[in-house]
Amino acid sequence: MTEDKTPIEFWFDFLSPFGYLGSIQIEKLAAEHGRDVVWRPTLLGVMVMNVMKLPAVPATPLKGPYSGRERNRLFGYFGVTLNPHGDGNLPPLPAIRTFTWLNMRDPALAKQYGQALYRAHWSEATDVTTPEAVAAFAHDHFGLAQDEVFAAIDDPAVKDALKASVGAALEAGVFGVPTFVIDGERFWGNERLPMIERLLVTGTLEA
Amino acid sequence: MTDPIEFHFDFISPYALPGLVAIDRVAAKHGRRIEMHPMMLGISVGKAMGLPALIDTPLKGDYLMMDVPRAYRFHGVPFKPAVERFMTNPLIPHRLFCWMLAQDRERAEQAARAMLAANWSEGSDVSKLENALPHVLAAGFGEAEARAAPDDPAVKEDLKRRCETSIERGIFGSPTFIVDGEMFWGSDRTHIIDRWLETGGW
Repeated sequence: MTEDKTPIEFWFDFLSPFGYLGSIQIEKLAAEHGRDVVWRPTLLGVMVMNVMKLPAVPATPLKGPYSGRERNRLFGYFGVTLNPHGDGNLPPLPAIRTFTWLNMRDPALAKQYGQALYRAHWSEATDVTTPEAVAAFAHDHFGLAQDEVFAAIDDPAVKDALKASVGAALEAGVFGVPTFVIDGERFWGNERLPMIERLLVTGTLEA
Repeated sequence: MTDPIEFHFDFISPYALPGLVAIDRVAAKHGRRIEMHPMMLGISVGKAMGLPALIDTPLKGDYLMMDVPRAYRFHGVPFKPAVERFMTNPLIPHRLFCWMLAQDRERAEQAARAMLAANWSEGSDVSKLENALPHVLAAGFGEAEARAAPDDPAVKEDLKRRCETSIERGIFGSPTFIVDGEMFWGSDRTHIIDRWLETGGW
């Protein structure tokens, strides 16, 4: 890790399976090139529906069915197990507020929690959809006190921090998950990893 | 299997040309042909999906303006768009393409490739008949018939039918690739198609 290599920003929301895949791939790629990855939480529901005024992708004609097929295919491409909890739907607030709370105290722990939570929901069919489930998960995997997790999920300071993070995402022109920001340049989607790799290897995108 | 790779595109799509260049490379590697098909984003995105154009979508529009030149750089394709904010009316090149397809697919594709390259790499607005025509003639089609083609009701109907068929098949974006029945949307998916062809899919 050298001083002049800025960290890669990874914008995510737990509800996105593509975010889960991105979280795994970008950590690998960053490690190969001596970069850190900073995890930055955002909320797709706010970005897509409130700001872009679009329907959610699964509810979009034509794109919805395609996106489901593509999700399955992309998990296969990256060799990641797709075994979501329930029908895959993840109301993100309990999980992402807990991340935000941990991130305010200990970003390294927050990242470990994020990685484990992503895996639990998308690969291990573990329930992390409610405050109760998230508190139990955080206790079982990280030894966190469940009442502290409940308090964090309802803490106005945590809510504000998450809101500020979503605001920062919009400010930076981030609208999708995963979005990777490398030296100020935005890349949306796992399909851009080859571009990012070329940028990291050669310092330029040119063919 | 040696079926061709279907390449569905709209002339107004800035990602069509880099997608074509990228899939050409993948197809050559695996000994596949490309088969070009017209589709219209105005019908799929606008009518079937009920969405605004990408360029008019908050946040995504700005991303697009930054991302498109990058896609050309990444695939080594010159970027000189005919119209600054990309919006051209694609009816003339699409109708010419349909008219040519009905006669000779190989020469029709030659002209379609030339029109795409002219519009996106050479700054020539092929939504205008005068700019589109030289590429049609260069592919060996007759001038008088070509000039009449965009107004021919049968040609209009053919384009409409092809667009409807593509929607029925679930195609909504440009470019879309169909490889042995599997649909891939986006010029940035060609490395995944490469793996798909290598392994026979998964």
